Amino acid sequence: MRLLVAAVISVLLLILGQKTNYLQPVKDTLSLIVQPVLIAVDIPNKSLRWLAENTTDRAELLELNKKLASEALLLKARLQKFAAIEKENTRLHNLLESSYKIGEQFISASLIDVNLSANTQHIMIDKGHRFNLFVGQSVINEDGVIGQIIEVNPLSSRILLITDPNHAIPVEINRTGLRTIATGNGVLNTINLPYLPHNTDVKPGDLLITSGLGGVFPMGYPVARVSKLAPSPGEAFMHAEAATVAKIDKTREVLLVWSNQQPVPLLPSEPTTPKQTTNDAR
Amino acid sequence: MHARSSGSSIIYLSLFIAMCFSVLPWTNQIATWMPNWTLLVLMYWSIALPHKVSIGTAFATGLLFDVLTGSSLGQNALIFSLTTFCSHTFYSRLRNYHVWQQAIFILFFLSLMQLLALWISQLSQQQSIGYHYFIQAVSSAVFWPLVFASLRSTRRRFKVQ
Repeated sequence: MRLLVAAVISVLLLILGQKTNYLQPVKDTLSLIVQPVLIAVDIPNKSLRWLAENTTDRAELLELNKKLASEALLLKARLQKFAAIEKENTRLHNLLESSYKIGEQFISASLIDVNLSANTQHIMIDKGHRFNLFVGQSVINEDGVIGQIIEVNPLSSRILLITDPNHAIPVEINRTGLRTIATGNGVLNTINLPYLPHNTDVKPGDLLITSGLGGVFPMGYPVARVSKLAPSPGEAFMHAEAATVAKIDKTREVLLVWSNQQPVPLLPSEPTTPKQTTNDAR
Repeated sequence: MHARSSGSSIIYLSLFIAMCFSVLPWTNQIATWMPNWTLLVLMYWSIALPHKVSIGTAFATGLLFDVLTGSSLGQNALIFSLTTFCSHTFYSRLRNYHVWQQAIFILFFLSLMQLLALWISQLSQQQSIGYHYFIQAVSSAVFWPLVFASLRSTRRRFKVQ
């Protein structure tokens, strides 16, 4: 009798969860209850990191500091040029009379749980509703795209990786501009390119970037590098694999992206100023 | 009265630890070979102390497990309730079995449950079926004697009854 009640409730929950969104409050409450489990799981990792941080000696820290300072210098130098290029790009788009979206905001989050199997490739991060994360938000790390958020709880969120068999991401080949779709295959750090015709101009080592189509991922982030190309005789498309740029098994921190939904306005006034900066930068 | 309440807390604590084990971030290969710790612990308690672990407990544990692993809400709740129901039905027989005979029972039962899980998750997303899907049932059966022995000694030590 009790089994019957439990079974009926479970089936109802399954159907409701499948068709509607009413279960979100229930999920939120339950996720708060299981939060201690996630915290407990993270303790060994955290304490190890704490130990490592607190036992590094002065010389090592100094060296790291030096390295980081030089890296910051390099990045700043590159950014100087970036500002000029951004201006120039906006101006060129202005000439073409097309609007253009730039400007993204990030916050960082750390991993608390990883679930990588052939059927599901999910990770959990330690930020949720409280930081205004939303379902469909794209997630990157310092190298490239990792995935998108599929579930937001009050204190944690679940991310579907681009390598999940149920995930597809619109990409374009950076060298040629050819647009295609990359799908996950359940193997860590590799994705498939199932829709490339045999006569496509593509070479191993070509960088794939997000194309911005589909509206989930903002344009221009690196996704993967083409690693394996093999003709498949008798089929319409060739067999192509790519290695993701972001190595998911070596990541502890991820960045969440808020892309600018409003297109940048076409520069209405003083068209001379951006020209000036561009020339200066060169 | 005091003994009773401490008994329940031991059961809940063991379930909590099992859940922690289930979500520990393992690498890909190890994760495939990980037994279903939570279900094994639940099974042990419902065979050893059927009056303490009701189907309601199993249902609640399953719901929490669903949220923890991100499977559709209700999937593991159903599986855990079914498991506890079967353990309640067969506990007097299972207790007389040798621990390896119990393991074989668990192998078949968990394979069946994996099939149910596959069937449920296929409602929402595409799943490719392969032998790797049933590895968990095998490893759960292999680890059963370990779980059985450690939980039995815990039960005797803390006099849970």
